[in-house]
Amino acid sequence: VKTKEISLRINGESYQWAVESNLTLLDFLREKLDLIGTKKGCETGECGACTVLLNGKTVNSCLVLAIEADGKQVTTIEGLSGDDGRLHPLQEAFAEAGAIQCGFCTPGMIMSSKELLDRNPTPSEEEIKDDMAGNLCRCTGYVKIIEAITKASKKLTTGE
Amino acid sequence: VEFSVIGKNMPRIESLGKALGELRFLSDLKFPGLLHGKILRSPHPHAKIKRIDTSRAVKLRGVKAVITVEDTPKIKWCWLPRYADKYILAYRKVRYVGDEVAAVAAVDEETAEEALDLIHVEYEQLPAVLTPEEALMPEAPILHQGESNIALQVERKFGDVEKGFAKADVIVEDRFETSSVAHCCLEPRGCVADFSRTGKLTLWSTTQSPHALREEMGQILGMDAKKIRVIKAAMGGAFGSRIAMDMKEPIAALLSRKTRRPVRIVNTREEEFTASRIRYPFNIHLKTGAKKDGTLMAREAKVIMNNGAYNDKGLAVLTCAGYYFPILYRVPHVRYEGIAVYTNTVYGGAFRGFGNPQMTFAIESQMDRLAERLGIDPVELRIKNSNQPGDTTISGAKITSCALKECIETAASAIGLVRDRRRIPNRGIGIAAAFHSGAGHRMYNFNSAHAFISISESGKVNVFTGASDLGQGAETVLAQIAAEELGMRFEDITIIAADTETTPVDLGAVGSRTTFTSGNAVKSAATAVKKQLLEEASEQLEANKDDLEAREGNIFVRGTPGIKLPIAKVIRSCYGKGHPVTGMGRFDDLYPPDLDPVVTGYGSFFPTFSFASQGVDVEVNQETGVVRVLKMVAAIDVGRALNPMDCEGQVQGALAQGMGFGLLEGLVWDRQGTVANPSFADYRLVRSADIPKVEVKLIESIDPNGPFGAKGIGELGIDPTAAAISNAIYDAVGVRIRSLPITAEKIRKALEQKSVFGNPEREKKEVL
Repeated sequence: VKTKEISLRINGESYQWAVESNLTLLDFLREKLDLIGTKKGCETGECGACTVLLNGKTVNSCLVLAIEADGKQVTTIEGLSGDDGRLHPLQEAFAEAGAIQCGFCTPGMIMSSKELLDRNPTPSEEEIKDDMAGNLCRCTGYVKIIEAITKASKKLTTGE
Repeated sequence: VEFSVIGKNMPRIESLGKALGELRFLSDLKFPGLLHGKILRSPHPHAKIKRIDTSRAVKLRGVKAVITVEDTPKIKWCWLPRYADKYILAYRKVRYVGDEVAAVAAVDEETAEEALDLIHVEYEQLPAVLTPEEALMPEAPILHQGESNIALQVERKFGDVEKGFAKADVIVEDRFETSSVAHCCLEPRGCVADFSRTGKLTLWSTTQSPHALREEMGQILGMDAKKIRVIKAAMGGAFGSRIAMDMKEPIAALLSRKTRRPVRIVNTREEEFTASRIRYPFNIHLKTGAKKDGTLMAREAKVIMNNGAYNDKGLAVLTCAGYYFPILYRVPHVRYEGIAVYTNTVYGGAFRGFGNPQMTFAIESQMDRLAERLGIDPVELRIKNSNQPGDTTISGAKITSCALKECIETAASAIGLVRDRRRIPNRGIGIAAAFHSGAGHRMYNFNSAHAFISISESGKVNVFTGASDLGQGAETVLAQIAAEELGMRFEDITIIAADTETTPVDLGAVGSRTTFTSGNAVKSAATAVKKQLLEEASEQLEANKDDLEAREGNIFVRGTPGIKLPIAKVIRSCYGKGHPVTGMGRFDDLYPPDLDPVVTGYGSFFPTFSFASQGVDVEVNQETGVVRVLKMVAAIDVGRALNPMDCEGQVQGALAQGMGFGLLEGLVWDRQGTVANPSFADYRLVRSADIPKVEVKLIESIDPNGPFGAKGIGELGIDPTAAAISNAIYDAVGVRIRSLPITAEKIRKALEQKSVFGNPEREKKEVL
């Protein structure tokens, strides 16, 4: 397999790396950079556990090659909390609202909802449900996830 | 009683770590020298193995070990040794598409996969049976030894059903079918085995039951289980699938022993569907008889369960279904006959509900049919026959706390199921009830638990428990129990759990038992510690220790306001006198073990029961048959809600799984015995967009033996859902679907038949 040198920014830090051309962004993050917060659930883009932001848009990182991220910005769950260790309101809301059970879908859920709130800061319940349909959860029945996103949206827009 | 920690919505202990993406699951753990294992699986549903040639695979660069059955101890295994029927790797024969044939350990996953392609297996194909009907034909090929493919048989008789049916005014009979449901944990199952040269095996596993797994590994590897340590990794869901050992665990152990390096094996998503456990599909012939006033007189079930290729939890599920069957409602005469039939398909295992979702779907669908035939309101019929506190069922089960009646009333009124309600075309409402063990059972001989507490001089409380948190919140609720009983703060508690060498013996997350059994053990340990602290405090305060109470980190004297002694000070003073602050707690089994199919099945096998009722509001599209669930209500008897938010979360999750069981989920096989829908694209799960308005009503019956009155509810929430949905669909469009999942196609076909032949379903009220 050929390798290619890529340069990209991940969670605000610059990386230059020679990667195999068939390496997925997911394996690059997990295996090469030890960013294990991004989870591997199906490897076929159907569960959403590996969701990260690529130039601000959600992607299933199992379906994106690392070389496709060349020159781009990647945000993973590790990049969501501030440098001072402060949690993102979504992380807080997920924990407080009981939106986390086993937690395996959580990083992907939070990344998808981050993109939703960036795009639509005050989504309705129906909009949240439709928008999050790419992220599977087998534990919570989604109810508290929807509540958490609503809670975080309020906090982000009104400071409450 | 005023509680400080109990009854509060405490966020999960580990939830911040999960929200940050820091918490390490099995695949996130690093091991020096780690090898990756892969399993070669049978492509045939039934075949003889003539020859296995691994020579090319062994030579592949990066391959460190290849094993076949010849490298294993060739011990047949089942978690109940009497029913042993499976080797670690296939011996002479494969019995389903996915059966383990050989395994490889290599430096990376790609190399391991490449090596699998280089293993040459010569098969001689045998005729296969994919359904119990085929497997029961006289000329059917036999999977294992014996004269037929009947793996197990269970019979239960209480009262005299013939007499009961003779006295009934109305008898309803139906045949119901349930599907093969996959657990679909978001995290694929896996393990890491590390066999040291000194002969000690350490296994990190996504297991619900580390202590049982340690014993099971000892059995199948033919080694002293005392030399095995099992450590539960953080777990991305389980729902029963991870109770019994999976063959990848001994396979990883053997690969590690051969390579002297740690070996990790993790399922692919496809393997999660094709070679993991499923919810056993049931075929249920059900007959119920009642008096014209609605009094249930007799109930009989004949169950044919597809056991799949090997036993696993088949015996237990079939038996458990037989324990649950006589109990829901007061029925004076009951008969249950069940057989489990071997077929050349992936085999079942434990799955949330353990036989009960299948039986409850049948019983509660039929209750609505009975209500219609009797001309009695379905809610009234259920309430009339409800179990009551203090009942002993016909099968000898003692019912202690029980709020079934309140659950039914609450669910019915919240969903709007009242007489003479206004009907909206194509809209329907349904209700169903259920009960479940709220405290495990003695299928592993014991259900007891114990726990240790050790408090440091500075006041750090370490609670040692064998309970297994699989995402359900076990550790959080145990910390709440410890904090409340000790009178210390929730933040002071650390839970150390689920490691066979550092934590006490416990069955783990099995049968909705943790809150009750492990909870009682932790509470009892905390009581022992508190006694020590109060004795010390009584000396310092010069007060009678019976007048003291501990709350939120301080000790108070009852009736003497203003006096407050920090527990931290009391702890230091104990250490100062040379006494460590520690306690042991226990939960002793209340009932003798008896879950054997050859015995009568009479008696109380569950320490307590939890009860529930659910109401569902649906809209059915007459053209397409598509069902839209608009609202779900669950009323659930939790004993006491130790953490209401977590209770709700368990029920909401169960409702979504129940919706899937009712409407969407089921593996399908092609004629070659291969699973045709092994992906999330083809095996449909409920997604966020499908979620209706959901209301969860927690009802507290305060169990006399539960910790602070609590009972377990992990499984219960899924039991009644499919029936409630089915009843709502019938209410909406007048067709009753008796086979799960209730797909749009089935509804459409039934609606077509109805339009051609009129409504054979709509029961006329009997002229009584």
